[in-house]
Amino acid sequence: MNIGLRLLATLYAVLLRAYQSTFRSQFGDEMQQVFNEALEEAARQGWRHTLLVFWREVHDLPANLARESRDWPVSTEGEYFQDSFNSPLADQLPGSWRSALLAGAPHLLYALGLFLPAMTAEFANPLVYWLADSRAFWLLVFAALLLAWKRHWPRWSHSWLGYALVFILHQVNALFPAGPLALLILVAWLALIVITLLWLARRDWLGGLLAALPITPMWVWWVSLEGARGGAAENILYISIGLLVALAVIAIVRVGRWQTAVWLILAVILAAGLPLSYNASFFNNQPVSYRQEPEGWNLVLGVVGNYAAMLVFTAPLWLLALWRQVRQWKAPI
Amino acid sequence: MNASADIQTHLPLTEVTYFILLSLTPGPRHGYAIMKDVRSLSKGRVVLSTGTLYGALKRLLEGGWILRSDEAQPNGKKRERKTYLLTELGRHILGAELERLDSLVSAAQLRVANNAP
Repeated sequence: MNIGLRLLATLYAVLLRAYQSTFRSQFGDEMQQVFNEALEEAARQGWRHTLLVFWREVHDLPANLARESRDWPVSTEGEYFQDSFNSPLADQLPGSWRSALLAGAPHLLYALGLFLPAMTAEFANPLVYWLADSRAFWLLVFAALLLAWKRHWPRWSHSWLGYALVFILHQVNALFPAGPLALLILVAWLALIVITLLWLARRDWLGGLLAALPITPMWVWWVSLEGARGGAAENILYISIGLLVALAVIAIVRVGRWQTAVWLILAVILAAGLPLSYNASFFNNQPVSYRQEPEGWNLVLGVVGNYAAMLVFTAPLWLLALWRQVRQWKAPI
Repeated sequence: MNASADIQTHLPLTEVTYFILLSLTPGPRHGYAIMKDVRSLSKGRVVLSTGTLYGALKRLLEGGWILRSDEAQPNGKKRERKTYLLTELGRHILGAELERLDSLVSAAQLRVANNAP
C-alpha cells in the first residue's frame, strides 16, 4: 500500500470513530479490512476510482450514522437495551438510585447555579449573567452528554439532553435577540424540540419525558428573568421548584412506570406552574420596586400563556401516551 | 399469526437487503465479496459503502436472517475474516420477496399484453 492509500486508510479509521463503540467493536476491524481491499482494487484502476471509494464512505456516513443511532436501542442502565415504544414492558423497568440521581441532578444544579448567586448579588444584565456565570453548568451538561454518548444514551442522560436543547436556543437568541430572524429561529427551534421529543419518546417514552422537563421550567424561568432580579423569597421559590422537579425525576426513574410518571409530572407542572406563571405575569422589565401586581386579564393571560407553552412543548409526549393507552384498551385480552 | 403471514410483514425488502440476500444465495461470502457481488447483480447501480453494507448486515444478523462465521481455510485453520451465510428464515423471506416481485411483473405483463395494439 503506497502513502496515498495509507493516508486514505488512516482517514477512514478516523471516520470509523464516529460510529457507536459497540458497532465499531463488532464490525470495525472487518470494515477497515474491506475498505482497504476496495481501496487497493480501485487503485489499480486509477486515482479517480480510489478517491471515489473514499468519497462514497464520506457521502454515506451521515445517513449511516443516523440509521445506526435511530436503530440504537436506548438503555436504562447502560447495559440493558430496548426499544421501549414497541415493547409494552420496556419502559416499565425501574432504574437504579445512581441513574435516578443522575437524572435529577441537573434540575437542582441549574436552580442552585442560577438563583443562589442572585440571592447574594445584584445583576444588572441577566443576559450577561446567563452567558457568563452559568458557564460551569453548561460545561457540566456537555460533559454529561459526552459520557452519555459513550454509554449509549442511558435514560438519565435525557434530562441533560433537555438542558442542551434549551442552551442551543439561548445561544442563538443571544446572537439574534430581535427582528424577523429571531422569530424565525424561535419557530425553527420549536419545531426542533417537538421533533426531538417525538423521536426520543418513540424510543423511550420516559426518556422523552425527562428531556421535555427542563424545557418547561426553564422557559418560564427565562421569561421571569428578563428584568430585575427578584428578592430572596422569589429565589428560594425558584430553588424549591428545582428541588421539586429533581425529586419528581428521581421518583420517575426509580419507579420506572410511565403511568406514575404522567401523574407525577402533572402534579409538578401544576404545583410549579402556578407560582411561576403568576410571577412571570409581572411587568418584568422594571426593577423590583416598580413591578406591578398583575390583575384581571393580565394575570389570566400570563398563567394561560405559560401553560399553553408547556402544552406545546410536551404535546408529543401526551399524544404518544394517549396512543399507547388506546392501544392497550384495544389489545385482546 | 402463522409463519407465512409473519414473513409477509417483512416485505417489501429494501433494495440493499434484497441484493445482499440474493448475493448470499449460492453460499457464504465475506464482506468484500458481497460488496462486489451486489454491484455486479445490480449492473453497477447499487454500489455499497462499507458503512451501508455493515449497517445492513448488522440488522440482518439481529433479525436472524443471516449468520456470521469465521472463514475456513483450506488447511482447516481459521483466520480473522468473517463470512456471512443465509439462514432458513432469510431464504424464506427472499423467496417470498421473489414471489411478490414475480406477481407484480406478471400483472404488468398481462396488462401490457392485453393493451398491445
